[in-house]
Amino acid sequence: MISIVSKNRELLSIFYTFLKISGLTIGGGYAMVPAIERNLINKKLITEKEFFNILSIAQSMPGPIAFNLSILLGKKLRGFWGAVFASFGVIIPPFFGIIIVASLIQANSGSVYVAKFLNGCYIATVGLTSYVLYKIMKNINYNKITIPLFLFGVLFIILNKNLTFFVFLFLVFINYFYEKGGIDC
Amino acid sequence: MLNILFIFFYIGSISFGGGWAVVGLIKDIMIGQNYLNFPEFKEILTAAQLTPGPIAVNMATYVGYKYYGFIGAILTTFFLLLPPIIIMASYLTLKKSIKLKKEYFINSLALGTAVLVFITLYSLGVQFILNLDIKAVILALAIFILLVKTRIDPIFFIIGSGFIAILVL
Repeated sequence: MISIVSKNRELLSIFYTFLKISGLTIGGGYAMVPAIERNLINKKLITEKEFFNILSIAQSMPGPIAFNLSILLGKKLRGFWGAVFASFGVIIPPFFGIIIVASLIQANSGSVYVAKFLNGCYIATVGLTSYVLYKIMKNINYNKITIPLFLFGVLFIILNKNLTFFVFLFLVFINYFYEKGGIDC
Repeated sequence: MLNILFIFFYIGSISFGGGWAVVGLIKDIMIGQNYLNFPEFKEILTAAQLTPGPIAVNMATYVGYKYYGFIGAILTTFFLLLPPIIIMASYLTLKKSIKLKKEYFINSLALGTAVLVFITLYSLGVQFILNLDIKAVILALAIFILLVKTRIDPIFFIIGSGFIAILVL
């Protein structure tokens, strides 16, 4: 009985930890990574090496990075239910946050000032996206075919958006086997 | 309803390397299929940045909410997250039999993600270049340079840029 209570308490504490980090970190997934890192390492729930190992796995999967991290870390800390509680903690704040904020903006969308404000935020987003692109491209290890593949991918997707998924897979596949030096496993 | 769930499932399965890779895709699909118009897209994009959480999740939740209410919001969010859930579940079960060279794989994903983020940038920003909207281009460039040179939280640039737009644009 006591063990069930303490187990539930641990799950709730995982839920609350991720809820708090997700709710207090504005600015998307990448802002949350250092917050999660500091929190879990300070509580000695996980070592730095384990964290970065899990982070690299989370990055190699589709899906929001903070969400992937919450599942993998939750699983590592308390198994299946740990993953469930951690991921709900991450998802609940953005879920309700967006509904509330978007309703507020919509209620005032007739105003010229709101439209101008939104336009300014949108322009900032373009600057922010350039920055994200800059960071990613700075951290790539370039080989002979990286730039041609990049240009090829951009051109193809701009010409036909429906091919996005296949072009993406093609680029990753070709670059991976090129770097690995052949298809022989 | 099924179509919109399928769209978010598709977006979820390609959202490598953070939400910015798929924002352009979300914009093109949502506007192309008339789920949103451009001003609405701007509203959601801004709301998504002013609220916590991954941007793709914010957008999925909002579009579901707009069309099918609270249940719709739960469903679109769930379908966006379903591909990562499936892939992580398979990874956690098959962990031992996967033999990928991790560093090459991550580098290759980074290349693919760079292409997708470039597409997002193109999709969001090309109108300013085409319309020769010099003020907007300068503002975006200034924010880019400040983000590279300083460590100020991006949220301040987003809000600040909104106020600058009220005063100047």
